[in-house]
Amino acid sequence: MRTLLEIGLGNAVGATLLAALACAGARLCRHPAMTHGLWLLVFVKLLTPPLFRLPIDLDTPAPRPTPESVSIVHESAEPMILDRDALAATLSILEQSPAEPGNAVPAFGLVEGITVLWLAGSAVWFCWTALSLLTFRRLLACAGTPSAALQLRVDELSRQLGLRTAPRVALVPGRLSPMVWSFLGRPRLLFPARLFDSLSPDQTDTLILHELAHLARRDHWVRWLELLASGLYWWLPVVWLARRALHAAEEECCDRAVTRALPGSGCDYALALVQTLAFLAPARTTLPPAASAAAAVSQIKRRLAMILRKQSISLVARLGGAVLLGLALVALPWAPTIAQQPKEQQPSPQQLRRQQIEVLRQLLKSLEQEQQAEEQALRAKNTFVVETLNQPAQPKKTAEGTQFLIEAIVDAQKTAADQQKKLAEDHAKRAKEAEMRLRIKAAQPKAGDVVQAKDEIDQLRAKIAQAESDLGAAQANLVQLQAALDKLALHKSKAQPATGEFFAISLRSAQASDMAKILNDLFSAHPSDKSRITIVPDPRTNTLLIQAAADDLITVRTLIERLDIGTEKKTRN
Amino acid sequence: MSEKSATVPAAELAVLQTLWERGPASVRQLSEALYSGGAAQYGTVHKLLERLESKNYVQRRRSGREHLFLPTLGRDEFLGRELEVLVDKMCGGSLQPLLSHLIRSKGLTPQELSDLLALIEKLSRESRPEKRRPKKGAD
Repeated sequence: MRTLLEIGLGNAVGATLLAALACAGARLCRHPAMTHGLWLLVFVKLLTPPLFRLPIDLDTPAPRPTPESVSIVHESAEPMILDRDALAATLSILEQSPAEPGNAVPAFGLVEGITVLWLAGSAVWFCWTALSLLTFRRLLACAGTPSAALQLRVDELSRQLGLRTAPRVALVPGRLSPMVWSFLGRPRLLFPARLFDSLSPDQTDTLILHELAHLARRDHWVRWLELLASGLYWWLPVVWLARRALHAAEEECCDRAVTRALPGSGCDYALALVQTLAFLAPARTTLPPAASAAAAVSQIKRRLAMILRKQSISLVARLGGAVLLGLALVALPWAPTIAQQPKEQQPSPQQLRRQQIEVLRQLLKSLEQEQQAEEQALRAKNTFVVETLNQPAQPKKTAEGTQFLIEAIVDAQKTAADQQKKLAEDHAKRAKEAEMRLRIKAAQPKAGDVVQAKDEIDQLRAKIAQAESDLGAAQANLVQLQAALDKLALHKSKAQPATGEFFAISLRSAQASDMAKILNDLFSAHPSDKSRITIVPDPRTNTLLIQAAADDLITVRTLIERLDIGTEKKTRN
Repeated sequence: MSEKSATVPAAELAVLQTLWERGPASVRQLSEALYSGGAAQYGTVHKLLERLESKNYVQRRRSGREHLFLPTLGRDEFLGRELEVLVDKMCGGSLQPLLSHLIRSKGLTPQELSDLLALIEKLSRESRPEKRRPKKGAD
């Protein structure tokens, strides 16, 4: 809408400048054809690309973000958790914009209001004009009475003027001026029946020739141009001034065409014009208020003088007019704005908001993928440990088995630590990239689309909370495994002989950690049992890892069956 | 009747056309002529006639048990007036029709007209001696 208004105002200013040129040209050369051309260019200018665009800035600019809001992003530099900090900083920036009412860009500002008013006025104007034209056409369909004699005369005069096809003639009732009507079809020459009866044949010929000259000059095409420009620029006074001047120039051009086509008919033509005026004048002796036709009378006098005196135009005046016409023509169709490359447009606050949200989404997605990879690695490690523990018992090789198990756990932990280090480096790299992007975007104004931003913020918060929860679970898993590793290492350091076999019992109802605590408490009350039985819980798989002799295992299993009530146990050795 | 009447809609114009062609007619006769259906459009035609009557374009005359409607003005008078109003509205007002006028001024006083005739006489006199002088000089 802003562009449309800028183009319209640019055209209005250009047309006003051309109108000033046309005024000067009309005073300088007084040549009706040149004057007509200059005024015609005013209408053409209104419908061609603008010479320049008037920049419009009527809306309040959105305030820039405060340095504090930007510094939140700048100072977040912890490598391991920088990604979360960057997300949190961005969210805080997003949260700030709806809280500041000044940041909101008005959805329907002054520019939009002016443009809508302009377009609505044009729409009303065009509708009203179309309605009037259709009504006139409908009335003419009822009123048009053909006249064979008059049609023959019109055909003959049309050939004299070089018209390919003569217009249809209609004698119409009422006090109307002779006129040419061209709307949706072949042009028609409307001649008032009563005026036709009151004029001599020579006088009638001059009036018909005048109207045919309009057709020969294609003035009915100019009417369409004028109609369009007037409808689009109804608010521009220059349009109405140009219309009046254009019509006056047209009539003078047609007067010249009549005196050229019928030499020596000047007096008849002048009398016909005055008789037409008398015919149009209503039957009253006093001038109605506010109906003074002084301007029209002076124009008629000028026309009569031109018809009867045959004024010639000096060469200097012709040259001056030609120069002005040339200047106007050069300035008209080539608009500098068309040749310019379109400027790279600054993104709007809404676009910036969307870009920020998109960046956060990508960041969060990568974070989730990394979390999943981490979890997968931990799961693989645990599975390996459980499978190792569930190997068939080989009493002779128990000591070697224990050593092998410890070494495997250490290897798995080392692998997990390597992966974690790699992920941390990757996180740091991504976070730095995000920080750079956010630093650029935080310097831009942000406003608008508050509801969408709030939704996005809520979603991002939920995703961050989920990611933190997953990470906590993974870390708890690591702690448990570390505890198991410590216990196994303790056994190895004491170099105790293997007193039993390894078993894994999955629990359904009870928590593995709770069950392990109960059993350890129970066996710690009997030091002899405690020295022979080791119970370690695995919370992730809810499994108890047990090292005990076959006899002790029966006792442990019985206890577990009692405590894990109502569930089915899987016991493998 | 108002001097400057509003242009009648197409339906009312059709009723007036029928009255000009047939002369006085009842509502039933008009509905048969216009819609060839008769009874179904009786109310519509009656409403149109009431509107035309309120605008003083038709008047009713009692004939036996029914009313006959007849136009108050002739076709040319009506159309001439309507065209005048419309052209004035389009040319004198803010509208611009697709018309090329010979003369756009109306409402000149007799004094202004006589001034124009005097101007023509004067200009004709001025142009005549200019034509004759070379002839006299040649003689």
